[in-house]
Amino acid sequence: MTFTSYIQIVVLFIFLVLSQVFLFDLIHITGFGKIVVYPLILLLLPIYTPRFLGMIVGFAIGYLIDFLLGTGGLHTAAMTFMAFSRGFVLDAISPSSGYDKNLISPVQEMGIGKFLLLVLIMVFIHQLLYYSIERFSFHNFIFTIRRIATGTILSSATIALLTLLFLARDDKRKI
Amino acid sequence: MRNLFYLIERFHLLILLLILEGFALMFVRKTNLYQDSVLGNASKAVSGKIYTVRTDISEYFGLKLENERLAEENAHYLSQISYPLIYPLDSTLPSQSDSIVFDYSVAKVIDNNITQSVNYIMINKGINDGIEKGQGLITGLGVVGIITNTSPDYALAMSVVSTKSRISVKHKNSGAFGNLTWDGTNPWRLSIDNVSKTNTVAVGDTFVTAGYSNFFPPNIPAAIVSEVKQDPSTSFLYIDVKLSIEIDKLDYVYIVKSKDKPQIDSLRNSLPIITQ
Repeated sequence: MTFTSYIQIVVLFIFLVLSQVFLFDLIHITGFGKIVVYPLILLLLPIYTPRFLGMIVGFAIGYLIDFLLGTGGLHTAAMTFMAFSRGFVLDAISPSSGYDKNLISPVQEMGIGKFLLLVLIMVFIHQLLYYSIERFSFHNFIFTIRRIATGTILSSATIALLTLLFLARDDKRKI
Repeated sequence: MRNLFYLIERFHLLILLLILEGFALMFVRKTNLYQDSVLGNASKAVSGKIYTVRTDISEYFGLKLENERLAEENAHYLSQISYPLIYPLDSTLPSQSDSIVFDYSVAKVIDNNITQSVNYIMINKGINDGIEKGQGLITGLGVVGIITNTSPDYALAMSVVSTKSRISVKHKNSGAFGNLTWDGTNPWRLSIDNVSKTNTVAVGDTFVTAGYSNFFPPNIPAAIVSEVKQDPSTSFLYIDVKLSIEIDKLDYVYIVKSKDKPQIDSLRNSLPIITQ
């Protein structure tokens, strides 16, 4: 990994956190879930990152977002579980030959199509945990399900857009 | 012993998950759902600053609307000064006799939320400005919430639009009492329970604060009836209401401080507990 790619990741990290706090968190649509974009950072970790390390990173990112938004531990809980399930989802959708260990960026390793599938599944897990813990009861469960579904669609569409705009640039061959 | 290490090695991810989720749920329980938290910690100080910046930015875009609203409110106040006999008691403003018991101060809303099941409004005044737990929050048009947490410079109020909020109100025309509650779905549809069927409630009627709890002065508008349903199996009416304020467009609010509240509270607490 070159120095520039570290810089790129740090810049992307700051951009995602700031846009979450100052832009996407301000968008409320009644009855709909909120847009979350920061889980993208976790999905950009190299695929062969040790899984316990991934979970600790997820916990830390979730805690940072909770710290900035004052939401207690909701994002922390959702991110930790998302990081936990990341490994299993990666195994489930891996190609038969396994992943290429030399590449660093998961977008290049997996190809854009599979990466977006990963985004969809991961964001769904995140939203499922987030809204279940936020409500913590089965009362009006349809409403919770609607928020989970709309939140998943809106968030993964936004993340897909960001990926296509900023990350898939060097990867046109594989689309 | 070797088996133990083997188990730990085999399930280390699951163990880590349980530990980390345990921490996360502890944070949730401490800060969000229950009002046990002390707001003065670093986290709230940072998020308070961030909310201030955010509000400063978005305030520019709402200036026109806010001006109109203020002008409307001013007109209302003016009309009360010049025609005090035409609008005696049932007006939106606290009457002269109320203001002896209640003090009002202004604060700016720096964060407001209607998407959670328990929603909080953050204001830019705190303990240093005399804000305490249990004080009410109103605008010129109706009730907003009740202060639940305070820090030196900021305070959180639980919004009326919260599943844990319960405000005693009365029907303006008949004086029938009820409780204003929210079921957690649509922030523009709340309900009032415990109003008995002997009262006639029509669509468009106003419910005002009862003033029993000392969070709010009496006769502050709270909600407007949008639907009345009859259920033969109970002796109560199902009343759907809309708040008299626009909860998603708050900017400046008044904090109600009851001068007699400490006395009333200590009097209530001195009662021997007979029931329960």
